[in-house]
Amino acid sequence: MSKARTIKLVAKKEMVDILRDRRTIITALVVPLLSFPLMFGAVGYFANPTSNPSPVLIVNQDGGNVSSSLQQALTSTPGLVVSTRSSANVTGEIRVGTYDVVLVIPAAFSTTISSGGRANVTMYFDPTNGRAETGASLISGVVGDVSQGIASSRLQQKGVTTADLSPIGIASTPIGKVQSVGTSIAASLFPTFLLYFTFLGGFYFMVDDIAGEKERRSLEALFSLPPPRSEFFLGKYLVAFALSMITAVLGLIGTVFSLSELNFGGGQATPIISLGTLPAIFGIIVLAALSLSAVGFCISTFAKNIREAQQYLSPIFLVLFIPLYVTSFLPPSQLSQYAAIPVLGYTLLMRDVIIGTATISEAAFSLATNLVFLGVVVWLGLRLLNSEKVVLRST
Amino acid sequence: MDSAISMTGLTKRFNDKTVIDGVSLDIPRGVVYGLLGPNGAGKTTIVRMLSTLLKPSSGSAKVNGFDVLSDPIKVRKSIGVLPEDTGLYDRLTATETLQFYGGIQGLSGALLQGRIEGLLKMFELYDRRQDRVGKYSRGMRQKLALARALIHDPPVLLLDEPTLGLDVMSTRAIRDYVKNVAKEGKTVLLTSNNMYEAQLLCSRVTILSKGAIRASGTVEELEAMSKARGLEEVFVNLVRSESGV
Repeated sequence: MSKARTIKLVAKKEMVDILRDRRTIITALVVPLLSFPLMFGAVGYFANPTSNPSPVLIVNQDGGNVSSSLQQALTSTPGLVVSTRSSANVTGEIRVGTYDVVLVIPAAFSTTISSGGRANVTMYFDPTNGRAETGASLISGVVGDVSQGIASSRLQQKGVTTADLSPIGIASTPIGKVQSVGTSIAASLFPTFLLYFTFLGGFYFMVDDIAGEKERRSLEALFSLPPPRSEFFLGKYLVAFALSMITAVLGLIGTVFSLSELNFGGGQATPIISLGTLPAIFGIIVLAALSLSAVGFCISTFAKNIREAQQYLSPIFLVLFIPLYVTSFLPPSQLSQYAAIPVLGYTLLMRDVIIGTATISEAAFSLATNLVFLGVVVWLGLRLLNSEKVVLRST
Repeated sequence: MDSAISMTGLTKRFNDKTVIDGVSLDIPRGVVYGLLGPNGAGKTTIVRMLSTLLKPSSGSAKVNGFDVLSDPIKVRKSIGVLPEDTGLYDRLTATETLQFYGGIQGLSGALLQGRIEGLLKMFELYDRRQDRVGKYSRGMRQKLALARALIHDPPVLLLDEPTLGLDVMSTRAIRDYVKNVAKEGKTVLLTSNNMYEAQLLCSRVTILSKGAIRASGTVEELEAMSKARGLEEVFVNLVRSESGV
């Protein structure tokens, strides 16, 4: 019988078997497609002051012209829904949750300011309420602006200029490629989550694969069949790879949709990843899926049973997030050299592709080391599969 | 005529522990041969070496004329194996199970379909052929595993404790099949702890203890040799004398 036919039969059997498992359907198809739109959609909605404004009560005990100006400035600030009263049970309003922030403008506030003195307003809010924090921050900004306007006016009357108060200014000039906020977020999060989804797709299959066959004692019947074990390996490996790719593509669609259409970050919705970079990203994901599937296969083969395979495979999810943290603390010029690290380096290569700073030498170096790594892992997987000690242990 | 299975000085060691110690045995074609022994005697290890899952540490073994070390693929083509645990895939149906194993054995099309239908009918699984194996009883699973071993019509069958833990009806069905199979010219190597079963089915038996052969022959020969009546008495006497009891 031809090698290709065995591989096809094994792959078909594995695919039918695994797709009848609800866990796989959920983790490989539903989670990657929906998790980012749901997560970013919810975050985008609740964190954005425009869609989720903070209700604010101004208790104006003054009624003078300065407090009226301040009240007007606050009312016209986006992200705040302002109500006004002359008195209120301040703590009660906060506790009940009718208002996120209560701002008390004391009596004689305007008179004090107009006569050149200083008067305080008092803000009440619950710091455990994130929306209240945002509201308080917006109010502080408005109060600061109004205060600065009054200060400028006073200084002008005394013949003092802005230069007198702030003799040194700072002018910032960004060097290098300037990206939109969306592109920066995408470049830092997107590669890590894509690798995460790539690994997630094949995870249950890899756990269930050789380790599961050992536990169910089905390897003995399988390996008593004529084809060499390398053909069973290739059939199973193909399925792990296919599941990883399905999940990665669904994750890619979900993530791109979230980052562009759902207006993550509260900025203007713009395409955050150039369409021209998608073929390169897809190519990197193919290679990453090959490596991650091979690593998963090795671990599953080595493990005695499903539980042990889960224990060995789960920490890989955490390892995949290391580049996300490290890249935040290193200058871009020093990052490309780390692209040669097997599997994790793909994160950096993808990041540079998205930003547009990837070089041919960086890509070549990363691909070379990763292909060597892939070869070693596949060789190790085959070796483990041919080991009596590894294959027949199951307790 | 050459033997269906032959072993010469077959030895298996795991690290420093010798689990099979120089076993030499010739099993002629067309017989049901019993490999008997207490738990841990090494019966399953011999079956695993004959099915090429384990490599002998020394000595040699041939199945259907093919050496297990130099011709493993031809050996595997010649055998049908029923392991101690059925090792079936719970999420596949009986038909899908046999399609998969038959396909791997090189069968296809009408020939494969015919074999599948014939075996499922023979083992009374045809009405449940579209049910997932996970819903099968232990007896049904064992019958399906036997059908899997037979899908490519192999000349040699290696059955490791085929009726262990089965109910009366399933045990009877499997024994009936094994009784008939030798008449078709197939060779069956059957391992068992059940002396009644061995006496009923096997034309010759070998009693194994601590990895070595203690006695071989027909039931009558063994009875005469150990001056005991019935295979169970022979077995108990041999194993007791080995243990110094």
